[in-house]
Amino acid sequence: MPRPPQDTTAWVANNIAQTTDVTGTTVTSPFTFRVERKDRPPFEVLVLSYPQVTDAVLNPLLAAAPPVSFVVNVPKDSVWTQSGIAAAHHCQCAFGGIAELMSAIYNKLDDVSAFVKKENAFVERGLLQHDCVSSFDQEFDRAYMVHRLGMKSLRVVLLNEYELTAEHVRAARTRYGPFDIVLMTNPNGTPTKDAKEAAKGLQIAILPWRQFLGRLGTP
Amino acid sequence: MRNDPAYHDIVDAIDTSNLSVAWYGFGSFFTGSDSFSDIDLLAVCSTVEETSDLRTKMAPLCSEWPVHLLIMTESEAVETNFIKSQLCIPLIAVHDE
Repeated sequence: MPRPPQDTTAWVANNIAQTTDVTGTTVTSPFTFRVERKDRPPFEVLVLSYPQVTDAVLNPLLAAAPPVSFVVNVPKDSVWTQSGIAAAHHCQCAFGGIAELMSAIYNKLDDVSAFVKKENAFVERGLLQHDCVSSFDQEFDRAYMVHRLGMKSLRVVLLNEYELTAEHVRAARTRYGPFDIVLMTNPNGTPTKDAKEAAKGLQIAILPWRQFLGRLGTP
Repeated sequence: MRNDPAYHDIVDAIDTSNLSVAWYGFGSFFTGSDSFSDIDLLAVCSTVEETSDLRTKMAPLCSEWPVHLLIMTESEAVETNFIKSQLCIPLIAVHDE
């Protein structure tokens, strides 16, 4: 049986209360808690626990909650869909998992809603600055369709694993559907031999950042 | 860590996974940090087929807690030396089936 939402919210609030620069947390509803920080304004967090975050999941919760700055989805094995991301942006909320919420706190932002995950910001800046890229769509938090000038569009999945295993590749294929490239966003990440084999079988290229930039310019 | 409700759910989920899998914990949750962003679990499977089934079997646990589930075959575990390099803690013995 799933855990009651108030238990999940209390668990996350208790964990965040132990974070550096946090002076305390207060649960304000079954889905929300407030974070008090040293020398920075407090902010409100909405807590979800869904395998897939869509606008249909998010909008009713956002409508019922007090104004929040951050939406945190607890499961690590989850995806934010395009509509879920748009719903968060529409309400001017930052979003992510517990790791992203902690990063937002460590970044000491006055306005936590301005937080953007570094991994995505880095990739998106690289795409915007690439001569061969005309535009891109963020289809999921970790999946992009990259449109290229005069060349076939490429579907790209970002994986940040230190040890990229065959199971990671297959799980990404199941989660996101067919795609062309695994972009390894961990600069120290390495695919295992089995991961390379699995990717080859699925006709997926595993590329680090520099090779990925080169691939974008190749038909 | 052992007092955390997540730990009890992990032990229960591992115990009922019914696969010949070697389970390990690593990272801040298992080293007793007060604050952690995820709960790192490593599952080492003897076959490729088991790696495919395991994520599905563990979905109920992974939908409740911020579990970072790393699934490897035995050959990948040897290739990466992950268990030693990450100071992984054995969680439960391999099931005998």
